[in-house]
Amino acid sequence: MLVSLVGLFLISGCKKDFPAIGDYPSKTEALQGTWKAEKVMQLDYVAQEKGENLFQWNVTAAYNLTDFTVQFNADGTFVISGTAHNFAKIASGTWSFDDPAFPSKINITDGATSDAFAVIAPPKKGFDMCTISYDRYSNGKKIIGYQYYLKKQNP
Amino acid sequence: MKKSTNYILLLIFFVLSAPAFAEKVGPVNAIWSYPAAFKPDQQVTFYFDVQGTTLVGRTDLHLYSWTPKEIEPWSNPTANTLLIPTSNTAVYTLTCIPNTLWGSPADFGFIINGLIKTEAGDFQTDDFSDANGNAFKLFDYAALSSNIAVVWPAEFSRERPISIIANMAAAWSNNGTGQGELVGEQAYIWLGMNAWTPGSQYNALGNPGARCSDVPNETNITQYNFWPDSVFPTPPVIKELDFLFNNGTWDKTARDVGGKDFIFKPATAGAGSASFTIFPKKVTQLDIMSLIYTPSLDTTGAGIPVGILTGSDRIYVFMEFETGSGALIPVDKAVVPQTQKLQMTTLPDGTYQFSFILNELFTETELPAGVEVKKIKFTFMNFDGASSPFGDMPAYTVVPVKSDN
Repeated sequence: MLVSLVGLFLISGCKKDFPAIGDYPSKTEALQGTWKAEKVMQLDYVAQEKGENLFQWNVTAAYNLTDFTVQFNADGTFVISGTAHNFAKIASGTWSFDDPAFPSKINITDGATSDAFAVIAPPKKGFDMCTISYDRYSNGKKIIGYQYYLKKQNP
Repeated sequence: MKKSTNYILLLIFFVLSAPAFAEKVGPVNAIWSYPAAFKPDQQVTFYFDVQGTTLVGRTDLHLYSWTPKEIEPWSNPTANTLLIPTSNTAVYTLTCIPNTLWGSPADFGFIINGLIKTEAGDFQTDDFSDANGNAFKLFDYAALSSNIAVVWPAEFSRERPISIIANMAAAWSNNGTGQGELVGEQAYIWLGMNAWTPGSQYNALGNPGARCSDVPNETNITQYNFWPDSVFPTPPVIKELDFLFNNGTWDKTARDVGGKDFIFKPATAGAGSASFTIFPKKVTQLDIMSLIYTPSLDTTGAGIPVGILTGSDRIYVFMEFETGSGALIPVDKAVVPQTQKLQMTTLPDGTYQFSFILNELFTETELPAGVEVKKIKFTFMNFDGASSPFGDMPAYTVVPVKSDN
């Protein structure tokens, strides 16, 4: 018991000389800028859940999807441009993360309609790639996703 | 015993027993090697394609095999069995000298049975094995005793490595009256495809052709290994390989019986293996739907994809819709002109694809806005719209679901 108490005393008396970790890198800041799709994969979540081999298909060549460009601005506005088919059907408005530190969704709205992109590979400061997905729901269940592999323009 | 003690014991049991129950992730999509034909004492690179499994992108995959014998203890995989990722995240390689890896003698078996498993043993593919009909088969050089030349694998295609192996002693001269002109000579292969048609790019290797290599410990056997994509800048679907050999100056040649060119057509798995795929299985009117047709090669030896026409012919997809009221709206060529939007496109791998979004495919007169499509039926038709290129193929049906967003 005495040895334990001495040990505890010694440990608690040690100086905490680790430097402060600092603020968590801002995902909000990392997302700001213009992103363009390099590849778009269509996911069949139902097939994936069932363990089927064919659960994704490359649809990059369809509907000009590589021309999908989205600009996330620092003032919280966004603009989707290009000739690509826009599944979200909202071309501009405001955006926000569901959780700025650990985002799983980018919520978008034009004031009248709201929608969201799921964050698959979040943006990181210093990296020019991220992946988001527009997910289709039916009867409350996620059935199809369009995963956009985005590359930052002029990072 | 206390309840908490029970929980702890149960937890320990699960932790200890977890690796013993590997989750199956499906079959290995494909296996090939470079060179395609090799002797077990030569270095070879095996390629394993795990596309369609959850192993894609992992860096802790190992090859386990039990023919000709187990490589490493299953509980302790080593660097000898570690698969190396390639630029294609679904394809992994293992470079080795088979005799060294498996420790087998020169009479190495001609099949490899195995599976791919994570290092921790928690995920594994289905077996590729003789029992499942998908073991990896090795070329048996003894097969040349009854052939002048062999193309390996027999089911060759433009996507995978190919080896051409020839017996120079058995090959025939230009006029077909003599044999063995190239015995002891350096052989060069003059190679083309699809009956030397202009599209076959038969001169891609330059004159006199590509230098061949003698096969070690095999008398008068020469071999040429290649990736079709590397030799031919834009290879079409290979319906046949055409080749002959020369000594570099063309005064001596090695040819098939009668002095003819060697002609090899890819073997096929069998008639009727053409497949249609509709992706995704569950779809709304707002989503991209893709119809994918993968043609088979026929079994008559003609090497022509079944049902696929040539030249400017195309396949068209005709549909009829069952609306919310139960009425059927036929959408055939009388309603929708034969335009690009109903034309299937050809993908580089030879498959045909037709992608569309139901709500955007048709004009309002063709498919009134707001119509809730209950069912779609597809029928594939030839260019003239009068017949199906696939005989009596049944119509394919898809039932769209409602979208929440």
